[in-house]
Amino acid sequence: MLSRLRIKRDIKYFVRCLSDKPPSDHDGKISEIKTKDSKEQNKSTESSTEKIQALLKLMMSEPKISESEYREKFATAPERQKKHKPDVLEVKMEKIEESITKAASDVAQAIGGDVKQTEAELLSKVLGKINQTSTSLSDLIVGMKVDRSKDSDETVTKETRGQQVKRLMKPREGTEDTRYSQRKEKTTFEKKRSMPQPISMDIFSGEPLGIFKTKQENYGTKLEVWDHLSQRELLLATSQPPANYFQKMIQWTEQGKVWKFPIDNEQGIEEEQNVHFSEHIFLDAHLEGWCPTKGPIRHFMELVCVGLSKNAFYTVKEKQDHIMWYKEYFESKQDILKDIGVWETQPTSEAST
Amino acid sequence: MYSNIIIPRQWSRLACVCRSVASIEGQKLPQTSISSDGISPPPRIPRGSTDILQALAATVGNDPTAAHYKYHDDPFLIPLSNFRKRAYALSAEAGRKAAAWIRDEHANLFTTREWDPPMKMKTPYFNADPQIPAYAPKPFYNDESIVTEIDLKYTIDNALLEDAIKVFELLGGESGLSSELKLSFLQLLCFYNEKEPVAMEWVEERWFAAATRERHATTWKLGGLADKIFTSMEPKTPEAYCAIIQGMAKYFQAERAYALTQEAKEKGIPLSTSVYNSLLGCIGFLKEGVSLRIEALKGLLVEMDEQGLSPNTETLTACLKSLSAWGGGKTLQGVALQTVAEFRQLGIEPSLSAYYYLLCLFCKDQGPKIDILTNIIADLEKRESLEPTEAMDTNFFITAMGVCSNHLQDINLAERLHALLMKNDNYKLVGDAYKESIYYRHFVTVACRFAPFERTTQLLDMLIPNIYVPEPSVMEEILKALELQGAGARLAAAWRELLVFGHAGRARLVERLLRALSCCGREQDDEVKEQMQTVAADILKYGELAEEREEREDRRSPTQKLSARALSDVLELCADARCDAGWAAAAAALRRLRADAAEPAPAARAALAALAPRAARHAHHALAAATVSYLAECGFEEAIPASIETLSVILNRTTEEVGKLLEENKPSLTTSLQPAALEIAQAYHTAKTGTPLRDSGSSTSSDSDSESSDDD
Repeated sequence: MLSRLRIKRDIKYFVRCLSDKPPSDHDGKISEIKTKDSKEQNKSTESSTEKIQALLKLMMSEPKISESEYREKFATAPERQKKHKPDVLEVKMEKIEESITKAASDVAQAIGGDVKQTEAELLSKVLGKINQTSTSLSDLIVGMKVDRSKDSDETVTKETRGQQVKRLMKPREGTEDTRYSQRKEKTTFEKKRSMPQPISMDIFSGEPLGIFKTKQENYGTKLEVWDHLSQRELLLATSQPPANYFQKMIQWTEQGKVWKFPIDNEQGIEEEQNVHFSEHIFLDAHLEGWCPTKGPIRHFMELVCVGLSKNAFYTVKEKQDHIMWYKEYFESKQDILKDIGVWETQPTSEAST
Repeated sequence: MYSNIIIPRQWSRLACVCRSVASIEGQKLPQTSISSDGISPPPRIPRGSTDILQALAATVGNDPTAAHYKYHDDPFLIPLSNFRKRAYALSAEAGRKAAAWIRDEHANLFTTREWDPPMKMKTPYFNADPQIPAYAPKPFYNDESIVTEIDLKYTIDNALLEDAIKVFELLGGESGLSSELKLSFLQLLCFYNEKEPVAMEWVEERWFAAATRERHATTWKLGGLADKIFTSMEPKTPEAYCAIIQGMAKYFQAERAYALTQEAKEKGIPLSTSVYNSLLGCIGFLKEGVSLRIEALKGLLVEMDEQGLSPNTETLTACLKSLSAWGGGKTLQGVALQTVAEFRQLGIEPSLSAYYYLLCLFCKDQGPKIDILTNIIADLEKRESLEPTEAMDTNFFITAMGVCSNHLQDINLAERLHALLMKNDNYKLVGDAYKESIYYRHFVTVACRFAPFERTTQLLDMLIPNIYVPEPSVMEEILKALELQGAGARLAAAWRELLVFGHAGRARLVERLLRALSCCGREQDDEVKEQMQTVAADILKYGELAEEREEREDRRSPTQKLSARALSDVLELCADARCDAGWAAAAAALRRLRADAAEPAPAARAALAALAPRAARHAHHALAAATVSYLAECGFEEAIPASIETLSVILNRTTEEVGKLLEENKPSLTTSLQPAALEIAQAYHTAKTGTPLRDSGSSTSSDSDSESSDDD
């Protein structure tokens, strides 16, 4: 498909070289020039090819508009660097022509019948519109019908031709041509690219932007919860299922499911950590001030204290509350207790005595 | 020996001294002490709660040949395919989740200890002492719950977003909160954009979760709870501004974020580096066109400097993230290099995520090959440790390996990268199961294509199947590499792998394997050949079983059948069958070819012709007969010499005699020959004339006619 397109383009180009009419899209430029040069043209004798040739030569030698002026006034295709010699294209063209005609004639031979007719038909198929019985490609092109409807004026034709010759003399500056060669270049370049030759690049080779001047560190307002959460996300992104039992233990420790190292049997009982053990054990002090110093109530309360001092599960506060509960109970029953004579010693009186 | 005894004695004395010096509670030991006899014990090193466990864990080496720890409880159920690995790990996790569900559902049964008196019940939820939150039922909040600010704090600390919103509503909305708590709540809402985050507890679930790519779209909830709280806050603190701007920028609500930044600047509210970092990340949503965007990026950096804020690693990452998101090209690459240089000047090294974005920017699939990875790896190798700083860091290794395999196609670089990943505990940077398997996919692919064969096999043995199970595409690469090296024994073993990894149903891979087997088959030792033929027999048997199962169960997706090409490969492989399996494989392949009325591949014609007499020689007369008649049915010329030769073997005569016999007395043959020989004779005539010996032999196909007419 691609090659076919290329051939077509080549042929188009070839056709253009041979045809004596410039492509229509150049008409605009050329018609402007004609007004300037028309006087000179009027002097010359009519329709003598030699004269025209001479004229053309003249135009070649002394251009009315200098190159730079021309460039300034009219839009021209940008100059491109040419990589290959024009001959290469010519040769290739010829080769393509040859191969096409040869292939067509081969096919025509194989089919049989009117060989020339078939061949021409095949060639015309390749070229698109041409339909005649001549066999060589150039024959075909020469025989092409050319649309001349616009150029009624002879002088215009000559002039445009002069321009055209000039353009053509600068070999193959045409857009199609350059595009083609460019494409060729591109493909070869890409081939070079796909070879395992990566471009090595130093990432630290850049020129600094020069925006920041070194100052003391200042990161501005701190967001605690935000930082905590991004830490959490980071942990989530990098956590992996444990790969051995120790890692599993680490995971459990972090989740708070097992004892932390170093092992401590009071772990997690932070509430009582700052309470001295003596406060748990010596509870008699809480009896002072309300409890009788002797007698059955005192005896009972002392036993309560002993019991509480051995309880590992109550906090000091709870132990005190426990004792205070008894205090309130006995005080509410004070009347009866006094009657039986077990609540006689008032702490206040004892203290005073 | 003596000294060994003396030192402990000294120690005990020292301990005695220490004890007397220390307080009765004994919490503190002296930090440094020099005893009179010149022994100075080292100062006490404070240890974290997991330090010793970590030291112990570091002593457990990595055994690539063993299954992962999570699977080895039951050796019978060690999974070898991706599907099973996933299913087993997740079902173990599902058990844990079920237990947690029951605990939460029946929370009242898990609140007290047996020995606690009822009066000790302090809250309706939980009373045990010491309280272990991990085992406690999760607090459950509904409209009737009685909540305090402590509950809100608890939910914020544990990132329980939906519960936090519920508690917030129960507490009376914006008005009923202390400003400090409101700020914390605002930060939580902004960080997650009011979406419940992934739970921390279910490691396996996260590990196997299909990675959802971060959406690059404006997803910030406009007019949501966060916006409401922010507007209700009076006076608006710098923290509040920072939180809302960062939240908006994180979810790409760029315009509002910029407007608020402007507002804050006008009010003279100090912002933070993190705010600018997040703003840098969403420039692309504000400006169009590369040059405008670069302008804006530089503008923001200048603004940061004017505000007196110092940049950090995240600033660099944010810049590169933006640059890499805007496409490629020389301009952006140039700016990226400038940025890196600028930060290097400030003493800020690129983090792993910064390198990830650089790779994204420079190593495009279509773009030119640019090798920045060598540089990056050299830099990373110099660093002592690669501490992850951002969640995006986990993308570095898989991207870098992808660049090694697709972009640079450099096995040495890939090995260096892998060594880096294996160093220290860098392996956690591999991300999750999905990323890990992509990483190894790239690694194995590049190794199969470019590494020396010994190195490749070594790598494959190490990784497969416990660390990595190759996907079909990688399996194909492996088969290609094995075929290229003609590693027959490994190819034979590859069938077992296909079977175990669950790829046996993929006709494409199986055909590739058969092709490789038949290509390498000729140069192998007899023993290996035998193995290969056994494998071929197995493959055919597996196909038959799969078909049977399909018929029985009426599956929706039919199993793919092997092509005629693959069956021809089997025949080629088994042309010089050495064991029963080989004969069985050949017979099965032939049977299926005939059943499908398919033409064998051209290469198999000679193999078939060679197979027939060999089969006859080894007393597999039926197989020989089937081969010859198949050849004849297909109308191959080889049928004639093959049938003569086979018949000569069966009848124990010379070929000339057999030829004469076949030509001469046709009618007598039907009665005098044994069935197999008769079939061969028939095949001979089919091939010769296009008509069978007897008219009743109707099985001979009509398609042979056209071909055999040429022979006449």
